[in-house]
Amino acid sequence: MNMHLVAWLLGGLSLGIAAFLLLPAGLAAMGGEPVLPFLLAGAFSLGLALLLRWWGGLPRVRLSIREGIAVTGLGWLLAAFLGLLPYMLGGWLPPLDALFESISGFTGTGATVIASLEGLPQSLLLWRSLTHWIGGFAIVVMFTALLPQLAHGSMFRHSTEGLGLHGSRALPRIRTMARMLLAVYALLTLAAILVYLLCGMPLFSAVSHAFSTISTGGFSIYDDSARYFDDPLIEGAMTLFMVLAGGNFWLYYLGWKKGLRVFAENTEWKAYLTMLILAIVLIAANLVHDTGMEIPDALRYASFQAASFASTTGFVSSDFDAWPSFSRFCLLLLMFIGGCAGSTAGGLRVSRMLLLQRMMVSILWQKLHPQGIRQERLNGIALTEDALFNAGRFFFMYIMLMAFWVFLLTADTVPTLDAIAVSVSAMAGVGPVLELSGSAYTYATLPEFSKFVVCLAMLFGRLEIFTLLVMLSPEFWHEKTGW
Amino acid sequence: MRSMVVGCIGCMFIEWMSRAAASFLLGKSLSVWKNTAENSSIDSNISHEKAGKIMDFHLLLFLLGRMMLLMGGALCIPLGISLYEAEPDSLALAFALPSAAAVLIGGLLSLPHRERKPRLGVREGALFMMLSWCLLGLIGLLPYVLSGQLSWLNAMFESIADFTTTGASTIQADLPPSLLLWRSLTQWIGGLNAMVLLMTVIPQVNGGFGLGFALEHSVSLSPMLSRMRRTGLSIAWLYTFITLFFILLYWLCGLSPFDAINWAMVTISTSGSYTTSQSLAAGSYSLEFVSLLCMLVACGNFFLYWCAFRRRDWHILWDNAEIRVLLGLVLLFGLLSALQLWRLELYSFPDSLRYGFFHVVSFASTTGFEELSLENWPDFNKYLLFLLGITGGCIGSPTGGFKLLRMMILCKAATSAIRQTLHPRMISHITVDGATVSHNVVSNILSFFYLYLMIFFLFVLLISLSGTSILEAMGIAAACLSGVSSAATLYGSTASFIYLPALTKVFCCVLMILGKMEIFAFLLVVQSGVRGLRDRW
Repeated sequence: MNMHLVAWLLGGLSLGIAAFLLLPAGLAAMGGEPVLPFLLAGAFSLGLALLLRWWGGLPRVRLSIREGIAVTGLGWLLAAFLGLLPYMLGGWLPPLDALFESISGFTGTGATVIASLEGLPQSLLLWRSLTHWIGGFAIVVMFTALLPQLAHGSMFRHSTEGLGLHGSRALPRIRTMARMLLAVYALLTLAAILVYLLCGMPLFSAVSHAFSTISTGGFSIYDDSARYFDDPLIEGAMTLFMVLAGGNFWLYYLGWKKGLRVFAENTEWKAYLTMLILAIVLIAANLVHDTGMEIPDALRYASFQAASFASTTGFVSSDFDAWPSFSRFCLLLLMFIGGCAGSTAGGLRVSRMLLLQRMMVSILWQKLHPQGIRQERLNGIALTEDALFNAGRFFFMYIMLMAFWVFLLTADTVPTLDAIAVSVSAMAGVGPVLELSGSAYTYATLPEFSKFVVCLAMLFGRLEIFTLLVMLSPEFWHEKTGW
Repeated sequence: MRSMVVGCIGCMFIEWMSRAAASFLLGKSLSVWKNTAENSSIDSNISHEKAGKIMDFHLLLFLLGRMMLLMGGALCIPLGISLYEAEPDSLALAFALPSAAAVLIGGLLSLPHRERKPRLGVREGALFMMLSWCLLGLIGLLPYVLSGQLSWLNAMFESIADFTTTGASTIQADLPPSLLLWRSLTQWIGGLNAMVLLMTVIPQVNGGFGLGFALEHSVSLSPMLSRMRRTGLSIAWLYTFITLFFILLYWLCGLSPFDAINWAMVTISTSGSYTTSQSLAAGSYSLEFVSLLCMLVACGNFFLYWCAFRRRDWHILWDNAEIRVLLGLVLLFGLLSALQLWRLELYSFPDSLRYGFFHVVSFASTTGFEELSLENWPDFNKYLLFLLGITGGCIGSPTGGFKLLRMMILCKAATSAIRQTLHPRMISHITVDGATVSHNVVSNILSFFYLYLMIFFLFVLLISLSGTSILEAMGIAAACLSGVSSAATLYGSTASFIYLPALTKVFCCVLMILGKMEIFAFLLVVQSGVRGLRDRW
């Protein structure tokens, strides 16, 4: 493995974070809030960046799979470390909490350990939302520019399957694709800011919430999250953008280029919307039936909450914890499935669920027609047997990992339902959970060890398990030289 | 003295029953096909049937008829007890009537179908599985209803729960001895039926998933009638033998013969519901230890026992990876559980070990004996038990659940995935006990895993409609799906299924049958049904 190359790329990352730190620093300077934490963190990042750049180098070789994995894995860890500096240097949070908050930000989870946001400076709140936005940005780059190059025939393949990138033929297009996707990301953010402003949010709030929405993060600048507004119009706008953020960004680009027909032809998009509508109807019906809520209210809350959980954003517009268990379990399942591939959403992804369903149908068919050959398709593209197999394997590992987190959490005396909800939520990058200190959803009450476990879960979930798992194996670091 | 006599008679009955069962169910008259069947040695997983062929119901009806006849015979046992104990006539009648009905229907079903194929097709196999469980459930519920002990719905729930060796119960009052025996007997027959199906129909429908290679092909697994008869006989024999052994052990521990018989039948079928009022806590240490041992035996691979027994080579057992994993898992989880109990100062250290291990084994074997109320146990322990219950025991045992061997194969597939990430072009083989597991089998298991979880989630949703908490719903769904009734009480469900709404009970019944059918078969039946309708209209 070429560590110089890895260092060079990480240096770039650290430089980027230093630049982004200037934003909250500027805000702090204008609002008369403490500037020093941001400046110090920025200076540190800059120093680190220079050091890494000085030591590293960019040789003219292609990124190998090891380096790709090292860059993504270490990159996230580095970002989490640099991100925690402002919280800590300002004395607002102890180290572990700061790490939690930072990881939660960069992974687009939106789980917070801050019991009350009142009294925190605006610049820090902006930094929280900004970490989301940077994290989402990085995910888009990772899934489009980095992984497809490494994906050929490997486990990452299914991560990129939904994008319509197949094999080496697509490689030359990847650079353009990444650029287009980032443009979509930026445009969506701008649109969200504008719409939020039009709906009557103040500027600062609109910007922060737009950052959190499009990156499917979920940090809000209010303790009450979206309940603070209590305004159907704003909730509607947020619902719309959350649903959009959970969809495939590449599809939006294609839709803009080729017309809206592509949406009607995309299986994943249709499945995603169907799932959402079904969940909304079921939850609303359950709410009306069990709690006697008015139908418009039920629809309003159900749609916001379903969109928020399916896109793994995690805004809260009502006390869903008081809902009947059927609705709550629906929400849990939505979290588990998550959004579309090629979006910033986490979870298992709708496309993978579709692959699994195809796999099942194919095996059933095979039993009845042992000599037949069947070609499964998704979005009109033929699927290889490996793709199905990998999806099944990923599903298994996802569940096992989740079960393992629950195991660790319950060992640390977290109640079972909380543990399950926390691990589902952290793996999918949602944020709020059931029961744990109500739907005010702060993780502040968790024991220290559990917080650490949740940090790990968030990282594993965001990096599609394998990146970190591979890095844990000794074989990764010591390349076999053969003889 | 009287109970002694009852015990002996019971033992003899069981012995006779199992022999009669296997030879009768699969019919001596069928040896005509033996030769043709063996000549065309067909691999268990491959069916050469043409797709879309019309289903052949003859063999199916014949087998179902035989099953009914068998149940008619089985019903005579509690009838005998009832007459012997001089219970009221209505009770005797409650056994006599269904018995007569079963014999009548069975005869009608099996008589006219003389012309039949020597093997079951995939669809027929799947349908047979479904119908056999439904039919067993139907016959099983009659004595409860006719004796006026339970309502129709509760009786159905009870009967299906017993036959699927779930052991969930809606009974609150103490039952008369004859009904008690009937209950244990249904559980015992359910366990036997599960294993016979596992050897015959399941390999073709769901894929044997390693039964074959675990045994190095010493047992032929196929839906061939002649083989069904042979393997069925040997398994029934072994099953009975182990039951008798258990009876002896329990009896030596000081249980009355009648109790010993019931306990043994309940233990070996991994059902675990005997009487509600009586619990093991009242028993002695030796009894506890013996039941722990029996449960452990019951979650091992019976086919392997058979091989070991036939070859007089007990190393086979230790050489089997699955059994080693089972023991390791029980040891690990038992220790963890005990340590947590001890750490939180619930019990003294020896007691922690005792309770920890007992319940770990009880859940791993999906028996679900409870020595004490688990409600106050730490969440960690409950979660461990929950996991064990969902996973279940070895393949080839009457336990429910996902089965350890499949779990092992999936875990190996996962580790190979990590290696493959680094070396994308690497071709990796998964081996268990030195035998390669084909890619096909692994993807079969993967999709089974997916189906299993999806069904689980679906039923949690359905059950949660009844107003239980999420955890309770999860407990109940796990209990029904993998046949470990105590999983339902883990999370403070109101101790008995009796309080569930009617609709939820129906869901539970469906889920229990699904769990025993291993889901794939059910989907096949549904698919064939839809297809049949489409062809007709």
